[in-house]
Amino acid sequence: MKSKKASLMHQIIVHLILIALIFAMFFMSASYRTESKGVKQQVLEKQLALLIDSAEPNTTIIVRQIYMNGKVSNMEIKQGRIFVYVNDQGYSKGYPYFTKYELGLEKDDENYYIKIK
Amino acid sequence: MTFLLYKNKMRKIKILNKKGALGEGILMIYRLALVVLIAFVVLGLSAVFYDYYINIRNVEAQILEKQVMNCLVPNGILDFDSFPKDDKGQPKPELLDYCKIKNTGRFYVEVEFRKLDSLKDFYSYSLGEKGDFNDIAVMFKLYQGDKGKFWTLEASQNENAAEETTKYKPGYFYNRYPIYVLSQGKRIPGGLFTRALVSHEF
Repeated sequence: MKSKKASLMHQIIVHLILIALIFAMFFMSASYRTESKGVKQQVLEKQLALLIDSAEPNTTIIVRQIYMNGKVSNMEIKQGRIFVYVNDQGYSKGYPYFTKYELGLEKDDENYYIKIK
Repeated sequence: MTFLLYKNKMRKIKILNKKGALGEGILMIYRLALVVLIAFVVLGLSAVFYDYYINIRNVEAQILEKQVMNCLVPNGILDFDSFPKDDKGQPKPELLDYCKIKNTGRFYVEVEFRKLDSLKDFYSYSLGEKGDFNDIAVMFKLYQGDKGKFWTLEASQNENAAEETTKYKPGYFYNRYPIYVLSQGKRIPGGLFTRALVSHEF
């Protein structure tokens, strides 16, 4: 009798854990989307790609690390793409640019500097 | 005798218990698989319905066209003699390379030149006073890229196209300019017709 009760409890606990996991995944996904990190990232990456494409040489584009919609936690320029990570987001596909000029990226405590050489 | 019967009964119960435990385990795996499947369906659906895509390809096409024009016709005169040609004297399909624009495989750029008697004719044709530009033969065409990508533009412009195709809709820009072409030391007036297509980045 005891073992039957224990087995039932065991099953209920496993089910509860599984349901909690699903809900956690769902809430994480929903919070990611409602916080619109992806949209902010898209906007920044695409705006910067357009600025880079249309910029003349010896231009510097300044991007503030902390801006009104959040924080740019990291920025990268590699393989013909610009990557912007917003609010400690760890993943980005980046957006391609096609400028014929060389690019450089520098950073200080407040800003990122994209230099078109 | 009674003892033997009891022993046999106990043995049968043990075997049944073992079978039951095995069945429970299999059922557990099935439940787990079902739960994982439901979770993926929920996440997949939320990803599809909440996904928001910003399409900037039309602006990219405009910038690309501007870059090509700045490179080809810097002062209103296109130097046709400086463009690379094949053995037959036809211009090579290397417009992007000529302008040193990174060819990422997303672009198709085309420049067509139609000869006119004077630059004034360009405006007459533009107003439809003298006829249609398409009636004038193309003197030369410079281009680079995959022209086949135009089908994606036509497909996305179709009224029956699904809304999802807008994510893959290419950017397109078209323009025309009155210019002179420098060929074999002669200045030839005419119209330059440009088309730029930027396909998706996925």
